[in-house]
Amino acid sequence: MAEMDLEQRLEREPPLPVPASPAASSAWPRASVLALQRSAGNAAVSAAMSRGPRAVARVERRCPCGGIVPPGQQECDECRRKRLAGDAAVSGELARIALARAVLQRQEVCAAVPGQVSAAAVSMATPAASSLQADATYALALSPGFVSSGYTVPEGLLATEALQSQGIATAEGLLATESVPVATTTVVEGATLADSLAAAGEGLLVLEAGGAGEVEAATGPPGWIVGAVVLVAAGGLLLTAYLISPTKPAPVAQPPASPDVRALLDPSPLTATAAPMTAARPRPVMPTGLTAAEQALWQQCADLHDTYKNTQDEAAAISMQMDPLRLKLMNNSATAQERLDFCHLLDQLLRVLERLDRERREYVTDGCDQFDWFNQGATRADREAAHMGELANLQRQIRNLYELKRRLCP
Amino acid sequence: MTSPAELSEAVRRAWDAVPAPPAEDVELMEWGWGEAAARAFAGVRPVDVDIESRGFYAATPLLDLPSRAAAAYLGTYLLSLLKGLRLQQVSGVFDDVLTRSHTLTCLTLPSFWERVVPLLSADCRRALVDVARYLTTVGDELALTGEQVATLRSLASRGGRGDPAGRPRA
Repeated sequence: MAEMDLEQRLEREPPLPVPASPAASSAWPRASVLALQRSAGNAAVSAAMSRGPRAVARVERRCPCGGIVPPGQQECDECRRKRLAGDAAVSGELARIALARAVLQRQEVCAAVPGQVSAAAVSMATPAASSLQADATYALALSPGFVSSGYTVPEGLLATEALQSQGIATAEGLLATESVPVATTTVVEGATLADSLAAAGEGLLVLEAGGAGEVEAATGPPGWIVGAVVLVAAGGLLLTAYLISPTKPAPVAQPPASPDVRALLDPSPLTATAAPMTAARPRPVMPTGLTAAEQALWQQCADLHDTYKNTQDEAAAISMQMDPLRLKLMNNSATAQERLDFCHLLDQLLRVLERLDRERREYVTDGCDQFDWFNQGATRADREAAHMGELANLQRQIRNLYELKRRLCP
Repeated sequence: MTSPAELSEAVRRAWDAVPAPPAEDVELMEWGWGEAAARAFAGVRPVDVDIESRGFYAATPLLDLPSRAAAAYLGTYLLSLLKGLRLQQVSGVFDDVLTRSHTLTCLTLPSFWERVVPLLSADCRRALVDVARYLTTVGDELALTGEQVATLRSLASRGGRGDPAGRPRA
């Protein structure tokens, strides 16, 4: 029924996005929109349908590094050189940024407020994650850039800052690795979760439709790309999604048993040496002998655990952004603006930590400490005492920081 | 030693001889704190863990890891705590909220001292005790309660001596 409604609505909606080049014109594939509705929900579709990406440019077989891709080749020499150099800089960090989709959908946190991106911020915008599903001819590279909170992506930022070619080179490099032909290249920019979902929607769908179980095994829980988007927004980062559009429709309703997601690639040197993506990663095993109610609680607690650990990861991402400013503060060389930026990041960090505090509290009050996840042999009372102690300390530190921040930050 | 910088140096020297814990000790690291955390710690010596990495910032494992791994990485968390204190003393604020809370929880938990501290080498234990004593002098900066300061002082004075299980030391 929902699909029917959506299809009927699609008949009335104008096509998205508006192409920069008439030669490369295409509306959003209906299958993608339907799949976005299935996987990300009506809100995401609605946002995508109503807004669309902020900026779109399409090129066909033009080498992003200049000139034309030679016939029979996937990239020009310059792109190949850049890719090989750039791959080393690609980090797999975003692969871990995995919040449960249900959580993500209510976290549209990056308000679109007019703002500017400093040269220093742009200089920090490097490719952060790249993925490819071999049987879907998609490549998606995400490039976060560091910006202060309250930010709107200036149109054309990618092109003007030469990030566009970096991202395209990364994505095309992935495709070239798999000998996947490139049909068109689409570059989109988005500042909010809705924008990012709209912008990156096709790539998300391919990854998710291709087999959530395998994606989970390879990169973390399902929805990790969405998680990346959310983190990027929450952390005040600029998201740029580089998407190679498909030469064939995405497999939308594929069950999560497809083995081909093992080809999800991440050229990060950090993950290149990690265990094979299909290898089972140790996870706690539900103890035997639990009642049905206990089994349900075990699962609920595992979910709560995932939620709050992901929030910790979100906080960690903000902490990382603070590194350069922290260094300047420690060296007493921070400018007034840098102190202000640091204060903004502290605000963000504190908000995330307050959420973390609530989530951890829920975990404890739900009785999750009855489970010995790490087989420590400690008693439930020990675990509860430790968790309660940690919660109390966290609250104290949050209050402490609020107090100190009042003195540092105007 | 009366400054975080000096104590950091002492901790680094003491833990320098501590190797990375065996892989099986950190096998649940990824499930517990994510892939970045697993990368930050697994196979990495305590003094080599990047305490400015995302994986480190996200991880609060000392109460969940096996004792020998917790003993090893306690050094890493002490280094981070001291670094945060340095920032606070210079700038007036700190930002290591999560890891600081975690480390202070461990250091003020008698069960942690009973389970983990006895596994430390004499050098590591000495450095830990020095840090703990120092922390009692900066209780206000760390927002420690009077009770926590007293506990810390008491635990430090005992120095984690005695290892009834006779287990190997980190």
